[in-house]
Amino acid sequence: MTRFLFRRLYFAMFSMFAATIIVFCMSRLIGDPLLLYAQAGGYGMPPEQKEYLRAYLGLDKPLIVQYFVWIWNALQGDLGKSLLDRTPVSTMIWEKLPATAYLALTAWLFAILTGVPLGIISSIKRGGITDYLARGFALFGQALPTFWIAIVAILIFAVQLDWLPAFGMGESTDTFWEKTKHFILPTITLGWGGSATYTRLTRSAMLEIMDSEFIKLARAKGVSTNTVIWKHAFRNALIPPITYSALFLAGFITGATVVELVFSWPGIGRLAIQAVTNNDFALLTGTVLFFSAAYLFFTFLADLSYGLADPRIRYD
Amino acid sequence: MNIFKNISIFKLWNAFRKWPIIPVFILAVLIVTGVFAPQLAPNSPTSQDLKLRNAAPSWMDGGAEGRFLGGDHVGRDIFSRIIHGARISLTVVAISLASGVLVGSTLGLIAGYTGGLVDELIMRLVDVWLALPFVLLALIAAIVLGPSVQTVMLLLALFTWASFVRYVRAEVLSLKSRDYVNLAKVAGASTTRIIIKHILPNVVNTIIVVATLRVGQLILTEATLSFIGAGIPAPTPAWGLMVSEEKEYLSSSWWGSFFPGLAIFLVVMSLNFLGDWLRDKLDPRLRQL
Repeated sequence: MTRFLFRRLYFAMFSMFAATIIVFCMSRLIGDPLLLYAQAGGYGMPPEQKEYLRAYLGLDKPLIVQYFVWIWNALQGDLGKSLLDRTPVSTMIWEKLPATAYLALTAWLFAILTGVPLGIISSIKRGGITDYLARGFALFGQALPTFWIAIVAILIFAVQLDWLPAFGMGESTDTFWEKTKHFILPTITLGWGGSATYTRLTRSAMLEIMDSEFIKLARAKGVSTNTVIWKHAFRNALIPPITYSALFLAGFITGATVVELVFSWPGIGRLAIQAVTNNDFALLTGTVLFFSAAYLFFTFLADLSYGLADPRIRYD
Repeated sequence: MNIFKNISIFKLWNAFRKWPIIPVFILAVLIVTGVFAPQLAPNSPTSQDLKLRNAAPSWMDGGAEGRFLGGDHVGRDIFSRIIHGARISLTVVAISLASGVLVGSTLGLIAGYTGGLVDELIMRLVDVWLALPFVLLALIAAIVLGPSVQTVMLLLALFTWASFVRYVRAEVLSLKSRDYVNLAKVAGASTTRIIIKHILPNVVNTIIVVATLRVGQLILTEATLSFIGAGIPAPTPAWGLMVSEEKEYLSSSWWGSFFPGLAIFLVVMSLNFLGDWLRDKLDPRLRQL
């Protein structure tokens, strides 16, 4: 187990290293970074001042040195400054983090609290109408584009019915219910895909376990159906959904970018999109680096949870 | 619960599960409209008509003549744009998938058959690759390379190759110790001949199943990239882009975002159905996919 843990940790570090290399190379591919601060023709900037700026920004050093300086600063929490208003990127990310984190939490709760029960019901009543409905729900969740669910949800619940707000997180002075209302549409939009995966995973795990020898033995010795389902099957079937949770949070990042964009949610995903539209490269690399670290952290957790949840799994 | 099995709609449903008529029909429509888009589209997908700005679909009250699914914010025909969008989707997916399959399967064959250090190197590359947050790197790439159809194809090919390596390699590992491969070796067949003549035909099923299941994901990813502005640039009629362009006019003219999204949904759902069905028919061992 320890060996496995170190191996995964080493993988995660290596992937992070690869991600930083990709981000760094791309940030240099875009052209001379000095041009982000001064126009190509100099724009009234004398050559000596340009040289001074180059030395000041450390752009006269070899690329490899620049890379390590960049990484060293990033490790210390300095992700550079936004080109737009010179705010430190780390401050901007830190400000937007709660909104994204809350949304991740509610979407995950929604996904697991709908997906797992649906999967169980669907496997117990296999072939029945609930099974068809649950599988339909899962099918839609996997085929509907997130951004389209968001738009249709706004169209129905915000524009036509006017039940729920379509934009933002609401004011800090709002009542709890007002704030909750802002969460409903983004949460469901973001959680549906994950819920579909939970349903599928739980259903197939339950079906497989209900078919295994120890369940047949339990049935044969006269254990009641409820005990078989909840005590024998359910606890074993929970392993795949639990291990999926970390992957859900990792995959959440992509979904969050889209959902935050549609619902004008003041989170980090929207920050990344704004960086794209404003050509704010420092901000974009900062957010991508932050998200990559979060993503790799959660995939690492997913690997760990396999080991913790099911000691039978062999690692090498 | 079994009483529901006698209701005819469920019988019909089960028939569809056995032979996916509707998905195949939808995909046939997609391919035909994609190939014959210029002949089929009633209007040009890019010509603007400001008189028909946000015009309602022709079958609605007050709908505009000749705008079957309405007009967008500059009066282009949404129906024609969806038809041409099918063509864009088909081209992008076909080219990126073909390159992904080619690179991925080749590397999978090499890794599985050679083993050793080569195998280790290829598989570690795949591991790292699959661990990267793809859409975010695509955002950066879109800025660096500039959004264009070629960039999207390249990004999607980069997105898809790694999963083929894993499945093909796993398949090759189990195939290469089979008797007929050993016999071919004894008979003096060269490595290339064994891989191409004896192993490749047996992994084709796996490749087809994985490819069909990936197409839906590719279409969704392309649409998502276009939606967040890192994909196909305007004024190309790409479905994801259309949803994004028209979302500002949602409260007055819902049809602009609704119909392109519906097209994406129908196609992806059909592909998922077809993929599931093919998997059960051709390669039931991939059930975990």
